[in-house]
Amino acid sequence: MSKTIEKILLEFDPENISLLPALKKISAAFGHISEKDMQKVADYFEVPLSKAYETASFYDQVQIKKQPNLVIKVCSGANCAMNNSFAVIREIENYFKIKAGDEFNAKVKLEIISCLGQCGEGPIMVINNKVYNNVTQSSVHGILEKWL
Amino acid sequence: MNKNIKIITKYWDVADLKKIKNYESFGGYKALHKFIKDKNSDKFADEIKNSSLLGRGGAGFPTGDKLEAVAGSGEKERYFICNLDESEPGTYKDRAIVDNDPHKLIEGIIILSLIIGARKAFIYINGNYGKQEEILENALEEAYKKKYWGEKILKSDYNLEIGIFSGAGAYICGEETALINSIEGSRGEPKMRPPYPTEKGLFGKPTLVNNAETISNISWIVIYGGEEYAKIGSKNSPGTKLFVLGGAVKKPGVYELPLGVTIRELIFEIGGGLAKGKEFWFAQIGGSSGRLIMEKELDAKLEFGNKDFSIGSGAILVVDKTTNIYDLLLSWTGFFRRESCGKCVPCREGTFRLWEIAKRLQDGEISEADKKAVKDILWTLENTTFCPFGKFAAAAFRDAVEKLKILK
Amino acid sequence: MPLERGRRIMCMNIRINNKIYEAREEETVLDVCRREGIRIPTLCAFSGLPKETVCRLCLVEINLTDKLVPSCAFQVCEKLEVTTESERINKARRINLELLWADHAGKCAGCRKNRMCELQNLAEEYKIENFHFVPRKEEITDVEERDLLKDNKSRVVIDNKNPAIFRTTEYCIECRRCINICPDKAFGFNHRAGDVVVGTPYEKTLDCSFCGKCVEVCPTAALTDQNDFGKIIKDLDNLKKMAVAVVDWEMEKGVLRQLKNMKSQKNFDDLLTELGFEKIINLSKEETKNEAIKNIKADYARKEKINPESIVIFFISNKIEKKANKDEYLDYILSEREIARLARDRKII
Repeated sequence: MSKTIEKILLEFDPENISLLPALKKISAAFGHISEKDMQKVADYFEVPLSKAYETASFYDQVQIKKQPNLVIKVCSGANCAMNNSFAVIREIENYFKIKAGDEFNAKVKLEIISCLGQCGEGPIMVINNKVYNNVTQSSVHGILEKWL
Repeated sequence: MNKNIKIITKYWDVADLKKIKNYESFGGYKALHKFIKDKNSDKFADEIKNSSLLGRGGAGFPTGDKLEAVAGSGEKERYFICNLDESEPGTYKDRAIVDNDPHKLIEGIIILSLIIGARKAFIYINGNYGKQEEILENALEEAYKKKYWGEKILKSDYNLEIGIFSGAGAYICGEETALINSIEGSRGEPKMRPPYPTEKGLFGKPTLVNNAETISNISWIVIYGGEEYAKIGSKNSPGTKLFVLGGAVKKPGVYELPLGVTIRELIFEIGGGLAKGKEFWFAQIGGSSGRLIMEKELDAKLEFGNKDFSIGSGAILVVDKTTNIYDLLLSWTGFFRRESCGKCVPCREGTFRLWEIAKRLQDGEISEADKKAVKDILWTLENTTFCPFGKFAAAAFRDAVEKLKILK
Repeated sequence: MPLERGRRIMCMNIRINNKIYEAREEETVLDVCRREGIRIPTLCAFSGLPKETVCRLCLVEINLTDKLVPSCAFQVCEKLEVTTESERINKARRINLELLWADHAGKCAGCRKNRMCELQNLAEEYKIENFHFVPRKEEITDVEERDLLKDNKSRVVIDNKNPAIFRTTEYCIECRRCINICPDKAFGFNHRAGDVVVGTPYEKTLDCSFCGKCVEVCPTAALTDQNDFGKIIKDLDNLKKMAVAVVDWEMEKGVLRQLKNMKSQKNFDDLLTELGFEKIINLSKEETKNEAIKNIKADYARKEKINPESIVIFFISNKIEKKANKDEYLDYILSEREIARLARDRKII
């Protein structure tokens, strides 16, 4: 069902301008880009592995590590912050006994993000690409339980 | 001042302008026809120069000057880039342009590209704007079928290729040299200037980078002339601007108003004042990197070149007295701590330290050493960083210290 | 006017600290200042490498803008007036040094680069003593450790598995010299903002040609020579073993240069003797090229009538790639930096 990395690479011209789009696509297809795959990218674009990796690691939408099954993102942009998004963040931290931003839990990761432009409906929470708005300290439990 | 004049949003609520037929029925692509008929790039470059249009991305640099620099370059190969990497927190005006009127943007892109003699244009769009990317793809396809771009535009000798480049999540890529690095497959770090992108931009070729909102003004200027445009808004800062009103205001949203409107008018007339039971504390002008404006400063005009504050992206956050300022500080500092490219010492280390101190402020654990450190960090961010990001990162914190006395 | 590759080079006069100096076009302010002996601190600039302008220490004031400009990249032009010292410049340098110093303060005494560190030297010069900032780089490996640390810290990546180069990002100041000088393109500027880690892709153990250029240019202890110093000292002091220093061509110069940087002067042979070497063999240029040294241990053992097992050969050379493919006749390879380190640790200098 899934495409091989070779097939994805062939969709792109092996030129620098296609490097970031290719990285993005491979990351989206496999969840992250493994060392082996990154080497294939580097070979295809004829750039050093270090260059492919440093570009990949710069961008939020390219993952260079295997991601947990549950990735929760909460916006802390000023609009959401005014609507208590930090209380929501603390609630999630306590719920899973994790800290925002750390990578010690293989099952769940909490990320603080900065504005998806849906400022009227904050706080905004994204769980595995599903967007929730107007999340509150009390409503967050119910949402999280659906994902467990 | 006529607050009702609309250049960009005029027909947004009238019809679905995503359909090219509707856009055309309201005079869409007439500007392009006019340009193709005249085939006089210099004339339209002059019109844009005479309009005194200032870049809407935040810096407010004269669009005509930038355009002239690329158009007058000795290099044959040139590029045009539409900057749609909108990622300033609280800002979604460019997204609104695509949602409501993608063809106006495309028409502007085509005209500007032809004026500077570019044969390839890119739309660099925020990686989170998946839906907008789709809208643009459809609109581009429609416009292509109508021969508005591609080979032999409207049977003329003009050729132009337009491609969409989707970003991958990095705020700093809104800075034009970082954006160029990103297209070139590198980390989105700002490049040293000079050389400016207008001399050595994408792939080392002269490149004009304009914000999506700036570009959306072009068809109007081509039709009605630069002089007419210059009459709108305030004298040194002509035209209209999209403002994104948010926070504790009754009617949040995107509003188009002539430049020179006061902050008070925008918040209390247009936005309907504060939501019920809320009392005004301050407003932040221009997103996370914006200055804080207190009650007594509300009559200041929203225009470019204001020495007290920059209108930046045009986002205006209204903050009421019940707001927890420490949450806001953490929001601002956390944003810059994540989004600094990490290249230069004062920005990488300074944004990290400010965020650290903001966390301690929230926990009520701030020390005298921290207070002294804040002063030093703000100073080095304002004075020694590689690019303007440092100044952005310091602005709101500085005002919170000086106007809100958060360290007292 | 001097000629360079047949092209006439434009010369001009510029003013630095109110004195007039001649400058050539394409020279940077820093180039002129270095040539004229005007001191400007730098941590990222390195001759022959791209100008990164990231350390923000070489900032100076000029007459063309109110902003501070990086002298390492700012090219001279007609009517340029430069000020290299002022209260504002000093403030900029002090704050940026303090920010970097956070992860170094209090760690010098036990550091491999003690007295050989560019950051340490500048911290002393600018009297950076304040412990304004707590260290932020920490080796965090599990949840327990994280909970002990109140603030989120930045990760530290350590590589002590490769044969020649010890790497720790705890001391890295992200100057990019190693990235730019590496002929193998082994390093990258990875991640973003406060999470930046200069290192190998996926933080793999370094596997390269081990030319050692990165160690040479690293201003701090982020990249240092890998060796078992405990064992080396034991072998040097072992009365039953004969410590033979085989000195590579032109190594004397290199070692003395290291000493000079540490503000010390010493006769090379005396230094080696004091370090505990009992015999010094200097190789000629020819000898280093050919395979003559291959039998050095056996030949020397035969000549002196000693058991080869009792001889320890220390090859004093910057060819640290030999640490990766060590020839069995060489017991240790010591670079000029390691000789200086040994001398420092043994309190000889």
